[in-house]
Amino acid sequence: MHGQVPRTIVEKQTAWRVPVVFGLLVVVVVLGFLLLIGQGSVAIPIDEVASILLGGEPARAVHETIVFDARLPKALTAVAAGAALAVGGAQMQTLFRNPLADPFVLGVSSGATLGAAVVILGTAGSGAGWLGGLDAIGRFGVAGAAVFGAAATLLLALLFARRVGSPVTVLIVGVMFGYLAGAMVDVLTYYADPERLRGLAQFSRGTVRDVTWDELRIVGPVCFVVTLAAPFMAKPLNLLLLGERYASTMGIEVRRVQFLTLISVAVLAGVTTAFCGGIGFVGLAAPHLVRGLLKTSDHRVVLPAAALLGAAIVLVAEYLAGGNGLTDTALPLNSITAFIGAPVVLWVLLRRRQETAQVPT
Amino acid sequence: MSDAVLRAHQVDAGYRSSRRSHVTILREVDIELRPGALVCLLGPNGAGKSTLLRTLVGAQRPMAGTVELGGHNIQHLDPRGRAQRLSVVLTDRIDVGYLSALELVRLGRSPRSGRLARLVATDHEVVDWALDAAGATDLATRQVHELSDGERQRVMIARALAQEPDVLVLDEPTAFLDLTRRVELMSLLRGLTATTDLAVLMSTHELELALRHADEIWLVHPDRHFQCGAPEDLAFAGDIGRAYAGTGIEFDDEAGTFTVRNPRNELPIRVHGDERATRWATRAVVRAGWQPEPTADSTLDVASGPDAIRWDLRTAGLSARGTGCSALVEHLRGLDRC
Repeated sequence: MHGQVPRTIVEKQTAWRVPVVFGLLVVVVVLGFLLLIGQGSVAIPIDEVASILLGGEPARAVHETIVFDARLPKALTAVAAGAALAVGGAQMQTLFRNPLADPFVLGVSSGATLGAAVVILGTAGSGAGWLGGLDAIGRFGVAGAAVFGAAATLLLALLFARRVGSPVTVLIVGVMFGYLAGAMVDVLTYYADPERLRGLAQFSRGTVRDVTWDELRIVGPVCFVVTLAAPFMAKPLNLLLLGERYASTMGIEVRRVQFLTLISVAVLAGVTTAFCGGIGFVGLAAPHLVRGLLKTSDHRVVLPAAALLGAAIVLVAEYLAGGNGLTDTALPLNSITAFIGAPVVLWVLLRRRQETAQVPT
Repeated sequence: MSDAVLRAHQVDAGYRSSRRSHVTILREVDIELRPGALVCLLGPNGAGKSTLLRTLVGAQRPMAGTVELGGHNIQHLDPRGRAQRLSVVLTDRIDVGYLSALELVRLGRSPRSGRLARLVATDHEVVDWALDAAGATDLATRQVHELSDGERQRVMIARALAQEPDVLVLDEPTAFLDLTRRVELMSLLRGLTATTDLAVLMSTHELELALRHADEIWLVHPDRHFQCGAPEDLAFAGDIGRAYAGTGIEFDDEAGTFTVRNPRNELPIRVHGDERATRWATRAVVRAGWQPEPTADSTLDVASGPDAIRWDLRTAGLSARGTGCSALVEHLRGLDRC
């Protein structure tokens, strides 16, 4: 057949790319995971970490305690939060048709914080006690409120995006939402019972360090399930790349897809924010880097690859920020992710400028 | 006839201006689009072409009447069923990031593929055929954002063809193309309808191409009157000319083309000579603002020279002779000013 030629050419050019990139990402995630667990005030060799995790005998009994009680929750949270934020970011970028969309930048994390803050500070009754030993229902309540706050912010941002159109304007609107939600949290804090403020402290920080096993039992499965479910939305998201009008003529219910994507992003960003606070730039940078590495926007590969890269970024960032045992002080996680994320924003803006300059609209 | 793939029955097309009130633009439209037909939707700007097109593809509800696609009410078809029967090429700019033309065309298989969009051998064959039919085979390896407007359009048409539709609807496909690309596009669509059962409906401002190539013209008049018929019949009855009256151009019945309405006072002149020289000299005369008339007192005798027209001009005021239309127009304009 005449047209046989291009398919084979394209496939030869790109066939190696996807497995290689995925292989590298898996290696980086596993290494980062082991490194983060192994390093700290007490250093444990990587091979011993691996054997402890696989059920082997530790060289010293205390190592097992350190690995399982002190460091594994942190590392697992880093993987879950990184993957969740990256997948949420990729979904948002397509949902908004805006390369600069991301849960943190568009104020979704702030919305989640506001939702959580309302529950933590506003709940009457049970007193200061339930903050210390937050029971399962309380934690679910906080997480639920954060998801609700995230969904509300997303919806507002989406409505604004429809009106203004320009990606950069939407970005500014999102930043304003972020400030507004932050200001509302401040006001709540001002009037709140000081006893309850401790529970709110972790929101503003953006860290995977303080997450306990109990909390991980919520964050982990939720992030895991929603992240794994995301590729099932890849096909309609691919069609949405062409815009709503085209997508609706290519066999999908656009409103339904948008709604499901919005819910997915709200859950991922909301739950992550509820337990780790706002971690910036991962959702923005990981999808772009992955598209660049894979040379495609096909969500079927972009979503899983972004999840891996997001996990890798947070693992490495946490390692650099203070999990390495080399420095005493711990840097905020966001100052490391910003080093990765901010250049990506600038790169995207510059690239878009070049393209629009080439092709007059 | 019952074999129409797309049919509008007593359709009122319009839009909802607010919650309560409707604005109906076109009334009681009855049309049929048959397999293998190339139909052009013509009409001046603002007459309601886009509204009618949106109604016909099911993007908006008709205010009254029904639109049937392959025998089903288009409003009752689910998006997937609709996309298997009808595909659309819009003027929207697309910004897909990293996507090769081939990947974009493969998206056209979505209405026929499973949840994970896995393609089988027959899908790949259709994609290859679509690329070939749209003349986009050479573009397959390129990134979409690197393509020119004309190339991107061909890829978008290939994507639409990959849906294997019965009806292909194009909204102003010639809008951003230069003249040669417009002619190419038209012959591409003409070729598709000639070799397959695909029915093509396109809205366009490209009147001459439409009149020359379309099987049928659907004409929206500025007063929202709707008409359909063979291009020659509409031209013969003067309907084409009427639809565009008052738009600064006029329909030249003799040439079957549109011309810019000449702003000058048109003085009559008789052009006489051999056929080819007369034909081209007449154009020069019109361009100079004169009106060719067989009974005029002023005469222009022309003859084909070796590589230019020799002319001999005789009017009430003056007579002159020369070679080449540049000099001729200068003389005619000079006389005009006297």
